[in-house]
Amino acid sequence: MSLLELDRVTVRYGGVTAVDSVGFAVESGTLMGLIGPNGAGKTTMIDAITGMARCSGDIRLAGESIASWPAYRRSRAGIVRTFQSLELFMELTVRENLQTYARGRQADPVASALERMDVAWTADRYPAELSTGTARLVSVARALAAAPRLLLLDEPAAGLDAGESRRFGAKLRRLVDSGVTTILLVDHDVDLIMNVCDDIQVLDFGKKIASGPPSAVRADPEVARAYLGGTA
Amino acid sequence: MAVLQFALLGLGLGGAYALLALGLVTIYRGTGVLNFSQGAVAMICAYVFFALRDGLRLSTAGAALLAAAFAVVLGLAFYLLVMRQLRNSPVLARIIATLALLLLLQGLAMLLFDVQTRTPVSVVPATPVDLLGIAIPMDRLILAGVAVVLAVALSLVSRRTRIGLAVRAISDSEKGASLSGLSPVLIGALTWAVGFVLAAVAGVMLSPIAGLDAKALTLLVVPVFAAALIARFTSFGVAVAAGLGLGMVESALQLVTDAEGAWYTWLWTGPGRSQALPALVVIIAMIFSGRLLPARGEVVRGRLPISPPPRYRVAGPIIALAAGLAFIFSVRPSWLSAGVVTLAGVMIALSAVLVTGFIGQISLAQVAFAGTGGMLTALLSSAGLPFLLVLPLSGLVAALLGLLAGLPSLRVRGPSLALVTLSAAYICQVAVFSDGRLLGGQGYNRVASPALFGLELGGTGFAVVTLVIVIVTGSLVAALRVSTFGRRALAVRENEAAAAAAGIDIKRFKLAAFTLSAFVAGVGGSLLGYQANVFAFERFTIFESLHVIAMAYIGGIGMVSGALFAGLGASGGLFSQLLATWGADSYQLVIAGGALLLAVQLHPDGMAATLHTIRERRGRRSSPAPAAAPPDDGKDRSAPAEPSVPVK
Ligand SMILES: Nc1ncnc2c1ncn2[C@@H]1O[C@H](COP(=O)(O)OP(=O)(O)OP(=O)(O)O)[C@@H](O)[C@H]1O
Ligand SMILES: [Mg+2]
Repeated sequence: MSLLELDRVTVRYGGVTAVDSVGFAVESGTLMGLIGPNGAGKTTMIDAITGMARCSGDIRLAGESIASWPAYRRSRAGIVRTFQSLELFMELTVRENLQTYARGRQADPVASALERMDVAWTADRYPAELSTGTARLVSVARALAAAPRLLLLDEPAAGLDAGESRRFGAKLRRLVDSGVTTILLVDHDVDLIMNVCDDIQVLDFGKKIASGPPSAVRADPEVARAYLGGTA
Repeated sequence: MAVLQFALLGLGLGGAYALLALGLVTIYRGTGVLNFSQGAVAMICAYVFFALRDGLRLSTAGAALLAAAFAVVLGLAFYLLVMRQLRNSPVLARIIATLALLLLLQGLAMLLFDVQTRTPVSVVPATPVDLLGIAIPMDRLILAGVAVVLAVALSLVSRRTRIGLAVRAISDSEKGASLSGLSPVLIGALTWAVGFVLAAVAGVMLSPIAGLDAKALTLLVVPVFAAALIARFTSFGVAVAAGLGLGMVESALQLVTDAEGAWYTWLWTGPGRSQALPALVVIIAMIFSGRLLPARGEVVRGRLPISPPPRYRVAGPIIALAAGLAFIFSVRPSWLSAGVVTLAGVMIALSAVLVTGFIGQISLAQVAFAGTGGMLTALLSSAGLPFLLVLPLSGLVAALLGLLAGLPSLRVRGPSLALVTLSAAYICQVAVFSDGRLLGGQGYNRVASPALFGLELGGTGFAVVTLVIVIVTGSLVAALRVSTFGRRALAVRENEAAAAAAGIDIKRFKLAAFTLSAFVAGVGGSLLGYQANVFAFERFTIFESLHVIAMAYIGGIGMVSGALFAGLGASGGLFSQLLATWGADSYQLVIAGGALLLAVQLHPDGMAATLHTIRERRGRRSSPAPAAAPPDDGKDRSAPAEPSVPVK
């Protein structure tokens, strides 16, 4: 049984169909990439999975339909996300930010999450004191503190340079390979996605236009036209 | 027939509602501000007018001109000196600013004018005219007529003139207005001036009908909000129709008298039922159509006053206990009772810290919760229940009301929630606390003297017990701030989406916070009852509610120390006592309002917060090296704030 199954998920905003009947499954212990040009509906997809956007279609977590669950309940069930604009709590220190999310039976979920992202030194700082890159890592650490079964990352590598991005990819890979969590990764950094993902889904104008392992997606002419040719 | 007669007589009140609502709508369209001081402006202008006409014997026309000029100057000054400066400030600060004006005007009226309620001679003929076979004084018809004419005029100006179009554009966005070539400042100034003049007309024309009464006129703002809400803060025509309709219904409702009937007739018979109706309209309208208030382009995502982790969680309570005991055993009785009122005030302010400071829900109903506690205390203590049982029971019943009052917070936020809670407090004031039938005593009920284990406490003993209760509560609130609850509270108040992503059930959390805070306020009200040996409804009015939130805001509403400050400033508390010894107690409201206006601009986070940051800076300077440094792997990851986190 897949960890997450999406079945004809559709999200409409007024006249815009931001996600149009998209279906795919994420297997436990894998790293799934989700790419597409600006406005393709990637963030909306994460919103739908986490219960922050009203959608039709079905969403199942380990076989159980969670489509009618409110956002907080999905989070408690292990679906935890980061935000494209981070949304760190500016009035709380980094440690308090993580404590707000912390859950699970680990001895010290906060410390180990900070450790995993190599940002333990930020614990007593406020988010405003951090550089954008560091704040992004902190936002991933914050989600990790919740001991997610499924971690949804919305453009976590934006603003990282090539070297940082590679190191970040390695960290994600380690999380998945050591069985810590399963990841759905949204990013515009094509190299990062191609290098670390097991499978990739491609969205364009809310529709799924391709999917498969990186090599297949890279070779897909549809993808080249819609995405790689467009923005990369 | 009588119904029709009363309804038609209500045209006067309705006309005043309509005029005030037109002003509210104008100001909202021009600057996006919900002006809670609209009734107070009508009140002060009425006092100015009648002082000029009846005191200085000016002609009606002369007095009217001067009163209108006064309204214009007041509107311009308040907009340019206060609201314009606050245009990018948190919602709470902007609401507080209009509340500050309300308190200031109320205080000025008390200070400068003879505020014995009187009924001045009408400015227009009041001879009865025959309408549908019913004799109606002409002044009421004229007032309603003026409202209708001005609504038509405003609609025409709004549709046909360049200024009107600019105001319409600005309600969509500030940028929209600059397209028309008129500056937003000009438009803002104009709308505030017009809004205040409309209020002045309402005040001057209504006073001869309903009486010149400082508090009653100020409280007009509640029914007026009902009319403006029905008009969705946009349509002048609907605002006038709603105002007139509410006035007529309210007047007709007075016919429903206190006939002995089945128990449930209690709901609609008794004091204040007709006044409560518009407030009920506000609450229901807000709950059922959540966003009745159209969002304006300019709205900023409000930052709330800071709520830093408390510093002196051990030393603070110990010092407070020592200082409190020293005070209790060394002062005269008048100071002792002022001290206990201050302690009860701290308690009520702590409840505001919980719900407004920590969770960011602007509640103007905290004193109503306290009043509920006070009322229960009168009931239970006279039934012979012991002090130690009455206190928590009073808190619990208040907590139930808090749970109820928290429900709207699931649907409305910010200024809308302030309005809903204000309306709830208004209903408690006019229809519950003053309803003698509940306790059998016209709103005044004896509270038995507190006794502990069979021993009468006496003044000093009760003060000590109160001190201990307040210090324990304060310590618990401080502990809450650094607990999981506190972190979640700050998360919810800052960013509901990220809080939901953290697995926080926001609805339950808000309800829990309202319940807990109402419990604390209820215990505070109970203490007030024991202190005075009586439940007196006038200690639990809206003005007290506003006073508490004002003082807590000045002190720092996110901090326990802010509540301490609020208690000192509570009416009847130590600050009042100090003013009284100087013979200056009539200045209290003016000082509170003025200080609040200054505080909103100078210390938007509150005084306690200002002190806190000063200490923080000192502390930073004296501490050696930065506590944490990034691991040295050749990359500068500690790059300081420069490219800082984008905040949506
Ligand atoms: N809350 C909303 N209300 C209305 N429309 C929305 C909302 N959120 C997203 N949209 C629309 O839905 C579409 C998909 O947006 P989405 O943010 O999901 O794209 P994205 O793939 O994440 O893009 P990007 O790479 O820029 O982050 C866009 O057309 C966007 O304008
Ligand atoms: Mg996006």
